[in-house]
Amino acid sequence: MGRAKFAMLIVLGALVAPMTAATHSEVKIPAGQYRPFFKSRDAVPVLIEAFWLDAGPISRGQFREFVRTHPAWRISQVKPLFAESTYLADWRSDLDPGAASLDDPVTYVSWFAARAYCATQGKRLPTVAQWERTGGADASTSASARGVGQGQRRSPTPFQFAMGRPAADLAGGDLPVFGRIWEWNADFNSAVVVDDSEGAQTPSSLFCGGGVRSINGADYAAFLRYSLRSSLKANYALRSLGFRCSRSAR
Amino acid sequence: MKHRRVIVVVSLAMVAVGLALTLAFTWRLRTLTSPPLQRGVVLQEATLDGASLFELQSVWTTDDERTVQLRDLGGHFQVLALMFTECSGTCPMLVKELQLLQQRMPDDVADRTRFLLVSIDAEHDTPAVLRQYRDRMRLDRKRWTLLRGNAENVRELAAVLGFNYDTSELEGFVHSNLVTLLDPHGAIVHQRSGAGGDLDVLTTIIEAKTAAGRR
Repeated sequence: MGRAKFAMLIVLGALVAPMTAATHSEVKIPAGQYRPFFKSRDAVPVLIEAFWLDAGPISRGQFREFVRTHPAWRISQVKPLFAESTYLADWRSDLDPGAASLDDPVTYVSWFAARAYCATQGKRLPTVAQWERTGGADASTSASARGVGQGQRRSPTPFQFAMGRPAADLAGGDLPVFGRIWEWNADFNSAVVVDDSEGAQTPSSLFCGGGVRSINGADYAAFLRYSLRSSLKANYALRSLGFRCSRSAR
Repeated sequence: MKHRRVIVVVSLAMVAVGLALTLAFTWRLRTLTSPPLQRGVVLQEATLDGASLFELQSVWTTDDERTVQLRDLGGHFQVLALMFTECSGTCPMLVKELQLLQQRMPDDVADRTRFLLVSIDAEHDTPAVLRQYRDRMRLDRKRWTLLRGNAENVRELAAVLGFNYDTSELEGFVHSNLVTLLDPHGAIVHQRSGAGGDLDVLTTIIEAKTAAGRR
C-alpha cells in the first residue's frame, strides 16, 4: 500500500487508540434475585432488574485519560472533601500513573472520584444490591462451583475468598471478573454492620433500629464485604479499593 | 583504692541508667493508662481536616419551603444530625440531647451555634411533615434548621459524614447515631457516634475555636 495511505492509517490508529482505551467491555447481568445479607425474619428475596456491568474494574490507563480531560480530578487540584491525601498515591504526578501496568485496576480512588468517572460514561457505580446479586454467591452455589471456568481447584487468595463469586444463574454467559480488589458501590454506606461481639457497644447505642437485623452467619465472605463497606467514608483512597461502573439495561 | 573508685563509678552509672529507664517507662505508662475513651465519643478523623461540607453542590429544602445549599448555613457553628421524623428509636432522644445541650450553653456560645437536622427519609419527610415535627419537638425557628433533600443528595451527605443507613421493613430505617460539629466555614471539627455520651465537649470545642480565631 502507498506510503501516504499507510501514514493515514497510522494517524487514524493514533486517533482511535485513546478512544478504545476509554471503551469498556460490559457484561449483561440478567434480572435475578438475591437474599440481602441483613435479613429480618420475614425477608423475601429482592428482585434486581437486569443491568449492564463493566466486565472488569476501571484501569489505570482509563483513569489517566479521565484526569487528562477532567483536571479537577488531578492529584494537584482535587479538594480534600472529595479525596483524602492518599488519592492516587502510587502515581508519580498528575498524569503519570507510574511504572505499573496501565491495565491494572486503578486504586487509591475515592467514592467521589469513582462517581465522577462513571458519570462521564453516562453510568453509575453499581449498588450493593446489584453487586451482591452478581457476585454474592457462596462457594457451594456459585457459577464456578458448577464447573464453569473450570481448571485446577486452587484455594482462593484472601481477596478472592472475600470478593465474591459469580452467581449460579450466570453460568453459561459472560462472567465479570472479580477478585482483584475491593470495589466502591453507589450506596456503600447502606451497610450498617452491628457488632454484637461481647463487650462492644450495644447495637441500640450505636445504631437506631439495629436490633431487628440478623446476619447470615454462614457467609463469612459477605460479612467481610459488608464490614468493609460500613467502615468506609466517601473520600477514602485506599490501596486495594477501586471501582467499576454499571448502567441500567432499559 | 582505685578498685573501690571503679566500683563507685560503675554503681553510680548503673543507678543513673536505672533512673533514666524508670522515668522513660513511667512516662510511657502514663499514656498507656490514660482514661479510656468515654463511651460514645469518637475522635475526629484527620482525613477530613479542613475539608468543608460547603463544597457540596446539593440543594435542599427547608421546612418553610426555602431552597438552600449547605454553604448558605455558614457563619455559625452547626451541630448536625441526620434523622427521620418517624424514628421511634434513638432519634427523639438525640434531639432532646441537643436541646439540653443548647440550654446548657453559655449565652455567647449559644449565639454563635445553630442546630441542623437533615432527614434521610426523602419520600415521607416533606417540608410540611418537617414543620409538624418542628412544632411537636418545639424547635425554635431562629436556631434550628430542618432540611430535606432527594435520595441521592442524602446518600452523598451521609457518605461524607460516615453516616450509614439502610431501609428496614420493621423500623423504616436502620442508621448510625452520629452528631457532627461544623465550624462557621463548614469544616467538620468533631463527631460523636453512639448515644448517651457527653455532648458538652461541643461547647468546649466551640469556645476553644472561637478563642483561637480571635488571636
